[in-house]
Amino acid sequence: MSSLKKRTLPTLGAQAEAPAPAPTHGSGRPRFWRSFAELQNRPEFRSLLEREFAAPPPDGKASDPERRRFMQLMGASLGLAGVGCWHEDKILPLSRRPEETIPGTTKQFATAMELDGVAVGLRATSYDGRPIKIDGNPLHPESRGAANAYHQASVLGVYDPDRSDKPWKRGGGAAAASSWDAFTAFANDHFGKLRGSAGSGLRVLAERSSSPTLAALKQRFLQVYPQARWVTYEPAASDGTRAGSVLAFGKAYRTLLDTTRARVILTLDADIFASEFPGHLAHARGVAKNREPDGDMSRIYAIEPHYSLVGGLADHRIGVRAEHIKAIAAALDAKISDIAKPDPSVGPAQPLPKAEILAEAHVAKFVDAVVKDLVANVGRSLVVAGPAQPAEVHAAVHRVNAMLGNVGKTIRFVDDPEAGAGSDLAGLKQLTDELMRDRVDTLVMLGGNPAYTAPGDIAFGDAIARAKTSIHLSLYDDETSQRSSWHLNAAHYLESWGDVRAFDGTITIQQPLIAPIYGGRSSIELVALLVGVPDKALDLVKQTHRATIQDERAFRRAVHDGVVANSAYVPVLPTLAPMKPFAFSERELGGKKLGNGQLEVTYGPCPKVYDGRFANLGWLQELPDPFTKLTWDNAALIAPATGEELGVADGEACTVTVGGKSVTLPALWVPGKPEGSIHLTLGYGRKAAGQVGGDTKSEVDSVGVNVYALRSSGGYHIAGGGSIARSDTDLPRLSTTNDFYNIDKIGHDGQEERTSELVREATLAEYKKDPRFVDSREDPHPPLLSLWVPPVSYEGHRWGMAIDLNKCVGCSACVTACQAENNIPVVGKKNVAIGREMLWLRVDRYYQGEPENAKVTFQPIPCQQCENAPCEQVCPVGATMHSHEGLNEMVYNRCIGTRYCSNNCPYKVRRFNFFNYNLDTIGITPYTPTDDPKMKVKSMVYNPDVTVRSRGVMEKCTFCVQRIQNAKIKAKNAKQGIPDGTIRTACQDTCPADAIVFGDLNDQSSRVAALHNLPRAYELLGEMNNRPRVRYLGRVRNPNPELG
Amino acid sequence: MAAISDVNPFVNAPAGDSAFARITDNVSRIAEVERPPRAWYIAFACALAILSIFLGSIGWVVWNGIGVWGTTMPAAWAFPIVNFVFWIGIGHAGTLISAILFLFRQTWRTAINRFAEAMTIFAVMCAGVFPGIHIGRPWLPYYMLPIPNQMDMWPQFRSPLEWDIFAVSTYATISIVFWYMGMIPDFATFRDRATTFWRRLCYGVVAMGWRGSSRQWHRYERAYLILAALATPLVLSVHSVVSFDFATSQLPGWHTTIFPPYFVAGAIFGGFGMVVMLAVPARQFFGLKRIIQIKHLEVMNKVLIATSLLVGYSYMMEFFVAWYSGNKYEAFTFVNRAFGQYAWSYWTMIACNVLFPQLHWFKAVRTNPVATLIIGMFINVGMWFERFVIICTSLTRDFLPSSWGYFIPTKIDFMTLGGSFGLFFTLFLLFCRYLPMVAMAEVKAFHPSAHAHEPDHHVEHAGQAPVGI
Repeated sequence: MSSLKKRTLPTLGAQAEAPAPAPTHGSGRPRFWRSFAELQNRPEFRSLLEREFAAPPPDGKASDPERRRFMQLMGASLGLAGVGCWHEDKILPLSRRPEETIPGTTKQFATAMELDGVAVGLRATSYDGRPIKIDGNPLHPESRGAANAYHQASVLGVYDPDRSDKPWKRGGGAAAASSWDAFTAFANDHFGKLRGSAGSGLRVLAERSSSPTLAALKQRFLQVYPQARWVTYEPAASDGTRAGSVLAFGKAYRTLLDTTRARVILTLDADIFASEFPGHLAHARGVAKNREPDGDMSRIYAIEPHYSLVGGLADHRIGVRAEHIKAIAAALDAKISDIAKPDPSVGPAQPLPKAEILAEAHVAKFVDAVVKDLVANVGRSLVVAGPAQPAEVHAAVHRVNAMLGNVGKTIRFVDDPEAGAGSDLAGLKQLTDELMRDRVDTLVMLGGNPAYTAPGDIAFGDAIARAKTSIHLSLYDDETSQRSSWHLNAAHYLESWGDVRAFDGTITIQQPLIAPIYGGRSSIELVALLVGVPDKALDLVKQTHRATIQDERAFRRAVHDGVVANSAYVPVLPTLAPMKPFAFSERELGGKKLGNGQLEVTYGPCPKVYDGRFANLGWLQELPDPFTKLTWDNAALIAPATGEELGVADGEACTVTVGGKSVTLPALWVPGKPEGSIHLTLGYGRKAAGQVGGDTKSEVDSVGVNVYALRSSGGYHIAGGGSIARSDTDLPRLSTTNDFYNIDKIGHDGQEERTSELVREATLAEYKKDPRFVDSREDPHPPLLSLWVPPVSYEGHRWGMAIDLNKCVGCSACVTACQAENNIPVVGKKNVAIGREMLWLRVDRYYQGEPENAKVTFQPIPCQQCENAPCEQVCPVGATMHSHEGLNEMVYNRCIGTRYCSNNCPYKVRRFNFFNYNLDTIGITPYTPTDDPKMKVKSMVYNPDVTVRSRGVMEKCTFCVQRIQNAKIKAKNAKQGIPDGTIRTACQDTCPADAIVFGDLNDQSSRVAALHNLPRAYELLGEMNNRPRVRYLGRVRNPNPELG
Repeated sequence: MAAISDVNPFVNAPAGDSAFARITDNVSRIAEVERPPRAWYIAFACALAILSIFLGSIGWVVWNGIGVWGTTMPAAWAFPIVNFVFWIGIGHAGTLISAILFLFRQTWRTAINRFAEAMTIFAVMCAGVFPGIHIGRPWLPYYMLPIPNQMDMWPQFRSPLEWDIFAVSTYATISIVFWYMGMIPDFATFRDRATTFWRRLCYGVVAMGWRGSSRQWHRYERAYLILAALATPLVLSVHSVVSFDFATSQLPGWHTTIFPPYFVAGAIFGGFGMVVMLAVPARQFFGLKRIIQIKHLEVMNKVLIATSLLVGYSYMMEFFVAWYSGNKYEAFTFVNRAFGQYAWSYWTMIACNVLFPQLHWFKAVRTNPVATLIIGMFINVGMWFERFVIICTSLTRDFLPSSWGYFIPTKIDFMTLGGSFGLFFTLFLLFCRYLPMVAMAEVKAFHPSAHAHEPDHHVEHAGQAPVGI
């Protein structure tokens, strides 16, 4: 961090103000925030620039906006700086190198990304003025240095050429390109009139935001337009969470989990590691700390309707239908109250519900064992309910946690900042009604894509047209924008100033890494414009925090650190309120068996495209789903038993019908899913996402199927009465990166037979008895002899990696991080379907056991960098060679593409460029000459330290050799060694569980050397004598002896 | 088809005073007529059409990238390498017939050795195309050659692909030299019979001044013997080296020590299959029934039974060793071959290579040209599938189940495979038209009349050698 602090002081814009002395430089140079650099801005320099560039040459081409934009962008990518305030920017080349700016080196800037009103602090790496990589901010309490796949891919979103580059004015079926100037003129006039009418008929529909500045502007907005109403809608939002808190405590609180202290964790349909779960990165960090078999191992239980990441890590898991969880929660309350005997003031416990699910032997046994374990770990346990669950489950869980003494220990409560807000869904419904009754004249939509994300029974998309004026601020000219009279192009979070809060309330000042490439504006700027205050986001943000951040220096510190000190919400200690016995529906009490037509249907956001907003990011579309390994598609997940019973084949089309509406999509059989339940993933079937996610206008097929249409406000997260049937629709080959569950018997048996060999597991008791359990194998291998003498002596460094299977949660953030770092191309659905995905790092997923209770283990597989590498021996042209540090290196220029190396690689980590993927699917490589500005923008995302591979060459994981080289150069210049931990691979950097450790094996004090020497470290397929440099740490489960 | 042979001018070849003259006449006239039989034109047109498909598909691959084939991960080698091994294997029969059978004094070989050798060379040419075009950057295959260059690159000699380069190029060189040398006396015959200036010039040049003197014959016989001795180990080495591509790698199903002999046996089997496939129509359409006799087909069919049993034994041994090794990956691979997702290809292979050739135990079958032809075709299909089974079943399901896959060929795959036959047949038809299809000099050497002064010998050979036409 020290180097970061020294080098990356944020460079803030003084904008149009007169040059003021900069505290850090003490010269007369003003500072500008544009991430590029600071500008030499002496008067003589300025006049020189003005003389040279004041007027564009009188050549018609120069005034062409395309060309101008192109010049600006080129300028940006070459490390230029801006002058003046942002809408009058001129971007000019530097005539002298600013202090501390070294071309070709990277700088890091703290910022934050917000999703559903929860921000995670990040650190963006900027290369000559363009952000190329995102990582977690170690100082941020909810990142702790980790980032998820959404964060990793967001950098691709900045340069997405499909992003809207101008406002559009629509009306009477025609769309006309407009400009912010035109909109400003319109808004001044229109909102001027509205001010007169106190904003009657004015409605705002915003996506959830935690921004204090936006909140302040909202207050101001509602003062200026007292008749207006402000509605928040997020398609993934849950009403159950808040209602549950109100039910349990009589007041809305926000629940913060501290997994670090939890010894026993029980999740009820709650994936606390999922990217949409607030605090997920910190949760994974915390849980991983307690998964050291030599330390105090925690025990995790999961009860859930489909496999979640936490379910994958769990020591015990049962799959039950989502609607059965309520009865289980009530039973937990009943049983724990029975033991804990809480104070009568908190009211009586729930009576034990007469639910058939509780009568199931395995469920009853499970619940009893969990209760025992929880009670034995008072103050060190944690029970969590998932957002899809109804209020009662949350309330029961609050009660249980309170009785177990977890409050203030593993769980903290803070006042819900949105305590007064009603349900998102109710708000949207009411707004739609108002629109339909023509009560709304002006509708302002800040972000979101409600026309697409509204449930099927709320025809919001059609209702938009009823407003005389509808304004949609959005990154893309999407489904909602195309129905609105104004589309306004938004600025990306990496392009704008802002302030956001983490789930625990910690504020981060977002700073732009680059000028808005397409000239977009943020929500803050738009609302400021609408309420008629100066719309400079930086000033507005500063103003908001004037009370807490007094001076410029403190502000700079806050921006630099990425956290505003002491800004977290203050924990409170709520008291339980008595609850009435829960009312149960027949379905909730019913048994396991359900007839077709009665099936349960659950909806959830996608771990890749979330609610659909990331649909145009190829990296996320091509990221294999952690469990199904499906890319570029969504599917109906069903239990194998359900599939067999109802004749719905694995990987083939099915029709899911709920409430008279149906969709046809592929079905996938997934182990661990209870019978009679169908899980559908939201976020697919976009019609105006862009060239990647689907765009009807330009005849790009949608990716996947839209299931929002099926969703209804009655069955928003969990719906009953669903049916599933085989469909005759012909599906193209599904683009999964693993086999289907339902493969032929031989293949299935073969997998079963070898899984225990590949992912070595033991229980904690077994581990204690035999710490070297990874070596006790059925068939010992012959002595490992080699024909070849070791090619190099490995003097100096010996790079190695250790991957802890006990910590990996399978979230796959590492895969996207690797893609971002290493310029890995996206190959598209068809190519993935036939096995040509290019991901250098994959996360293998193994199921073990019977389908209904299958256990799952994840195993990330990068190149194993074998010392005795089989690939090296068979390359006829010496294109893959051994470095003296033991890296198995690819020489792309030498590779002619015989692919023999891949055939001989037992890990199959090598990837081949069957086509010129960068050119074919992305449309550009950094080496492609083009004058198309959008293409130029696309190629800005490439990491300049990594070669972009061309057609016909093999590629694979390099252990991020560019990072190794950079560190070595720095160390050499400083005449120092490389301390352990200096070099971190991209996958390691982003891993929330800290499961991946990289370092020098020659350095005996390094972490990786210590891990390699652990008794539970093993080499994958070690008997082949490849001597891989990656060692896996065997997984140790901590089962409850009672559940055996 | 009888109609075509009717118009063949050689069926009723003018009778000469001696059998030698008739043999000469019979073979030479094929290349001397102004217009070959219509069948040749039809066949040549078809072959050219198929060749153009081949060239078109290669152009498509080079232009777009090898992704237009179905080749994928994990089946990083698929059709092109299957085709390569298939064609290399075909070649082996030619060398076996010309070299090994020569050393063993199997005189019946003289009837078929010339076109078997031609077949070898054309098959090696077809095979040679594939390593060049299957690579990701088909404009750079020369990186594999040890050419001193300013980039300071040098091939990596531990790679079996590098060994292939030398094995195959040596094989091609020796085969061509052997073939060419054997043709010199016959070229001289063509030259001497030539009636036009251009024929005399062309055949004169390639005959390299052959006069048929005793000294020349002596030198020729010595050189032929030496070349035969040189080519003999090649029969064993080339396919052994090709099998090293597989045998030395770590992949279950490839990593086995049985591969060299198994591949050689398979190659000879496939090669003889191809020879009979070519011999039957050739003797039919070019009126060579008296030279390539049923007797010769029968001998070759016996070779087919023997080699079929050899490959059948290899298939069994692979299974046995897979079980005996106790290696679960190895065992899985073989069970998966026979009963897994590619079982259909495995059983096609077994049927074609092991079951059908057993029909040759019946004399009626092995002396029937049509049955011979059909079984020869089956053998070729079977041998192609053998390589497909080895390559595709092993690659698609190796160690880590996560990277298992399934290979599905594309149209272009089939075009390249089918098209390679176009190249083969185009060359073969040109050979039939312009070069001596039967080794006249050698046939004569074993003709009874060549041994008239050796009564015993005469008797011994009387029944075998071709007599009056």
